[in-house]
Amino acid sequence: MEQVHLTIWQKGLLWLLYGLVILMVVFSVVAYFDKDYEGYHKCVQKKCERKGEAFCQKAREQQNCCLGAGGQLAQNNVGKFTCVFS
Amino acid sequence: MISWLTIVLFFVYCWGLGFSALSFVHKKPELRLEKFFVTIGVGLGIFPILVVLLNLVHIPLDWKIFLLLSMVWPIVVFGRKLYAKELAMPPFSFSFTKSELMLCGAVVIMLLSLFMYTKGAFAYPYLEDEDPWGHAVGSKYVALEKRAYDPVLKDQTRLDEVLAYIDPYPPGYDGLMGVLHQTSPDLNWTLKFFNALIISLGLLFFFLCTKEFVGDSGKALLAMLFLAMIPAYFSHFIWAHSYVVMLFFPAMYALVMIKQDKGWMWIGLIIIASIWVTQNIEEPIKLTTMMLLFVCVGSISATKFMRREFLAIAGGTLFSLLWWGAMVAKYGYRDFIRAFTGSNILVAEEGALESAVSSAVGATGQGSFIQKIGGIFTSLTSSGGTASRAYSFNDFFIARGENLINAPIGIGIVLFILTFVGIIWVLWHYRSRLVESKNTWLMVSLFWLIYTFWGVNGQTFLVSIARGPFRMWLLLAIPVVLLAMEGSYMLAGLMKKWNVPAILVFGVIIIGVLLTSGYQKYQVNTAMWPTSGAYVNSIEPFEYAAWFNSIPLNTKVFLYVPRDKLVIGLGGESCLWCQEVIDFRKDILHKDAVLLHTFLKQQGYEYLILNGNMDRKMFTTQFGANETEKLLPQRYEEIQKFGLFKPVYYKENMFVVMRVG
Repeated sequence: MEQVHLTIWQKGLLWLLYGLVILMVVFSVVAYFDKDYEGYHKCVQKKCERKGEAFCQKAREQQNCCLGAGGQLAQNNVGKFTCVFS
Repeated sequence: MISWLTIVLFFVYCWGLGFSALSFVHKKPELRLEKFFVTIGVGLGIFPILVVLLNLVHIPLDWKIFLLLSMVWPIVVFGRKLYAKELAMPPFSFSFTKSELMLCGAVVIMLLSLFMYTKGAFAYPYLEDEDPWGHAVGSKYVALEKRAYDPVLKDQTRLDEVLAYIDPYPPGYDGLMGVLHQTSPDLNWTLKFFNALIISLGLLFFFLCTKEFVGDSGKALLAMLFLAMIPAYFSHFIWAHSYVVMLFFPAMYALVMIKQDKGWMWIGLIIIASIWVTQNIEEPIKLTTMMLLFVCVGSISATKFMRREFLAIAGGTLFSLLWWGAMVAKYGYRDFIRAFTGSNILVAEEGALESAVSSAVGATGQGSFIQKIGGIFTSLTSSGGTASRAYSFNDFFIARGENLINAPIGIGIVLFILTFVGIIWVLWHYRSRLVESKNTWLMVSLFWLIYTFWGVNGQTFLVSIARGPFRMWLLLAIPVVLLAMEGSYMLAGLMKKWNVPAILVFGVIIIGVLLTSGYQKYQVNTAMWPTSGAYVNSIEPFEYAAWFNSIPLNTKVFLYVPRDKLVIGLGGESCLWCQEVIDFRKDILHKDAVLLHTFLKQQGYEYLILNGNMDRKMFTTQFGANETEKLLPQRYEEIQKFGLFKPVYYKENMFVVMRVG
């Protein structure tokens, strides 16, 4: 393979690309382990903290959190939303 | 009702504007058909900023003015050539070059895509969800009032109380639709058809742009085919995103062409300005970021700063201040920022305002300069949005026949694998050669992929870098198809070593993508979509549409409840932005049948629609349950007994239409 002479900017760009690719992989792996009830709960909590209880208890927001955690939205005995995982 | 005249006019406006702009560049496509479509793309890229410019100087947004402006220069050029006896029919030949064949293929894909989108859009008679009804109102406003600034209304307490998609929302999309509606009386058809046409033309512009960017028409065609089949890239949902993302391709085409002819800088600048006045900041920011990535990566690869490309982006963004500057001047800096940081309250108590912008900490409050900037940045990269959520591996890997209707998600199994193969191949095969000038498109595609993938995962990853992750899927599709295309070519090259013909490999790949992405996209796009939550049940929208089809288009119809957008979207007319209508509606339940009749006669309404369930639901929100229960039956009885309202249509348990006598 022919040797390519790179400027410092080109080297920097290449390393930036490699760094970002690795970062994406790391982020994806971390996110992969968030796919359970814990992930759903964390997502709802975050929404509650940001926009209040009324917002985070909306069916749409609960559904988004549940789907994101890899579950299916359901209602428990007292009619509250919960996320179930097969 | 189809309007052939408007379809012709659409192409005349675009071609004329594009022709005028292209007269100032020397380097143009050589193929006639390619030149035609590039001209159309450039023309479409000029239209939004022209709307803003005319509006700014108070020239009416009238189709005749657009026709005149688009045809002046072509007529001058034609006249000159005629005078100089230089007019000659170009020779016609039946032999086709590879580029011509590929372009014909691209046109076929575009037409197939248009077929799919229009089939789905016209599968039901109403407009889907909520946004399209809002765009119907904006388009109607532009068509009738011929301007794109909000009307001056008294006692307005919220920005965008009446016209959600006009002022401060930039008017590029509604401006185009409004001008088209002036010659196409059926607004419902106009929105559905031209929205589908814009998305489909966008695929063709992607082909033309990729052809220049990658330098291979075969690769461009394959990438275009992938883009047409990937679920994540556009459904036929009616919204400004259809136009703004489409404009990205003519803009990129212009940026790529600057290297060959610096005159393209001006064309790029104008189209980028149009991007900024077509959708509400969010998508323009993302698209501008992608263009800046192109300039940065391209500059480093070429070891020379792409000055003109950068100037086109910066100049275009600044040029769009024709709109945004006027908005800041109109609403003031603080209210303007509020409008884009979650709270759009125009007149309210200061305390309420401050708490309402808590999502943008310090953006408009009393914080330090750094806090304010931080607040704005937080807001612009917020991973919220109605349909945004964390996405799992399966959301990317498996395309489903059921999907979001506005911003569908998913890539599909074969396309996903091809993309993965493409990424690995590009990183492994090219290595340091990735930063060579000739491989700029690969490097740019990788950076686009990282940016859009990160954006899509705003709720999954530790940091969000773009607002509204679910709307990022549209843009993620672009680098995905480019890298999947590269992966496909690598596989074809690999199989060649075992004497497997490339055509067979591509055939298998295309069938695989069709079965795992294209089919699912077709299912989603040709299904019956739900409509506005204003309707009480799922049969109502069909029954309303059936009745509206029985009266002449643009008849003035008054819904008892303030949902005039339903009238407008179904082909009727109602002046919901008129002060008289707004004032009357404020206290409508306290107005008896005589007052109602007098008002409707004065305003020229021909029909009144009463819907027990809808009226009760909406008035309960507006007047409270007790007052509604007390007054609504009383009003119904008065209207029934009052001789000047004549019932002309009745749907049991749904609605009754009264003619205003």
